[in-house]
Amino acid sequence: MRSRARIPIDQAIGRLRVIILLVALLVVVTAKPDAQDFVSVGLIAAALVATNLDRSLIRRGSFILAGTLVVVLDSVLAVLLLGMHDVQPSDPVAMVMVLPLLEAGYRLGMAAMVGIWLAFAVISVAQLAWAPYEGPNQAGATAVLLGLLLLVSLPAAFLSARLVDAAVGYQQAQARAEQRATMLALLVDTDAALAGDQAALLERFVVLAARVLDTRVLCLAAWMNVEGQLESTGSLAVDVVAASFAAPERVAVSSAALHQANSEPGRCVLIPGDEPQLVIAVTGIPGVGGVWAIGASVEDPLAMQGLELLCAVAAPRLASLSLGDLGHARDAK
Amino acid sequence: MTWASPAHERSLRPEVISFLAGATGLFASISMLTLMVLALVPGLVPGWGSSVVVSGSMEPALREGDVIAYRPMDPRTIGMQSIIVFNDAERGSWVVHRVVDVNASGLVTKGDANNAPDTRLVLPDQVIGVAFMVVPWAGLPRLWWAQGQWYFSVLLILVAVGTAIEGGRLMRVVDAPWPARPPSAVFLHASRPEVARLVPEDTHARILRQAWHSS
Repeated sequence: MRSRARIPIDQAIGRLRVIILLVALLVVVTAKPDAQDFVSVGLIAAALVATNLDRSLIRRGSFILAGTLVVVLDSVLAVLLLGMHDVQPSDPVAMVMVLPLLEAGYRLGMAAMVGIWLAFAVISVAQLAWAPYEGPNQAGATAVLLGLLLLVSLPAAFLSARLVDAAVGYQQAQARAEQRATMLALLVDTDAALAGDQAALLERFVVLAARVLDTRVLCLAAWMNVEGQLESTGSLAVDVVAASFAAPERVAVSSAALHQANSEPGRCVLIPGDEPQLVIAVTGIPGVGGVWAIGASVEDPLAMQGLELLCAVAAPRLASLSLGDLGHARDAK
Repeated sequence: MTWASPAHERSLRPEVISFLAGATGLFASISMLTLMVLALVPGLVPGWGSSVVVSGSMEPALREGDVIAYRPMDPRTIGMQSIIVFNDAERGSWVVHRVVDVNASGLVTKGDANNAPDTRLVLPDQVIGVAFMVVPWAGLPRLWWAQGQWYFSVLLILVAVGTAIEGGRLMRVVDAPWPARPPSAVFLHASRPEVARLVPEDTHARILRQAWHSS
């Protein structure tokens, strides 16, 4: 089955404007045009030009300027068209004013949307005030129109803001993850390149890690200090652990712990996590000059057993890392 | 015979009630906000203003608690049937009445619900403006406060706050399925497949589920 092609929303709006322009031209050509019709077509053409200008500005990175320009132009267009054709607030056509509001919410956020809505309220009151006086106008229809506009636009602006946040968050997380994946791949490749006892140890570690991970030790990473870059490689290890826990902020505390681990090889430095079930252990490896970073769930007995087993096999002096130490770290947090 | 509703229906009921309360709150708070904005906007323009109707002398055109918006107008151009706001020095307050006659001396006014016109002519310098808009009910809180029925105003404020909170809850419910930050582990797994060889498949699935739910 053929998949449906997707187009960006800006292009969709541009195509919609082209269709509106064509329909307006058709109306002008087939009917008896008057000045208002020509002005209307001119305004829609101006909106088309604004769309192209909008794309040009966006390409240059001026998102706020482009959004402001288009929203203001669309608002003016909607107000002028409704005013020229004397559309009353009770007329369903007046709901076309929701389009600039939605666009303001989508492009500039909720505050701008509310600002445009307030401007519409002022314009509506001014329209009532400047109309030929035949007694006071009941504001009920205007109130219903403005209320409906806000009722539609407010959740839409709120959700679009959340969607934009989520999209930005996904992009940032993807960038972070790709960086860590690159580092982890480098780590794996280096494992294979190392020779002698260290290679055996690492190979054993990889095999063991697969088993231990099956018993819910969530991640384990190691790095050998082959070029004396202890801090950066240790940060990598902590980084990988933190990435697996979807907690990259843990990297911020890794530097001090790594210094401590490096100065006292064999001593385990515990970094309690923000989440109660997470503890990251960092330690220097005596006689090897590397750093291990281990993350585990302290509330999972199987994980703790696997962690102790791993520590005992991979680095004998890490056997001091016991359930009591981890429990103490959790209580201290 | 006792009918027991299924478990999933019982669990849904609070959510439905919460949704209805939120939708009602959103609608009510937006309605109140719209009326307040319409009542206050004329005050932004110099010379314009708005005033609360405090008596029933103009019913049914104007009811107690309505807000009328007025703008200045040349008294010589004010015609019959116009509703004007003027300063009644005898009463010491502003009055909103309809013009029923215009003569060289001034304007004859009358409340729609009154049987007879006002006894005094309204002179041109007494005219403050002509009413151009009526906002229904928007002045009720101030009217209640002025009449000593402050508890109604407090009650309305509490209702407004409650409806606004319910409306906000509805927005949060709508927003709930979207996590604040996506788990990095998802991308860590997806972007570099060679990483997955370190971790058994079922463990990875569990990690992803945990990371997703915890976020």
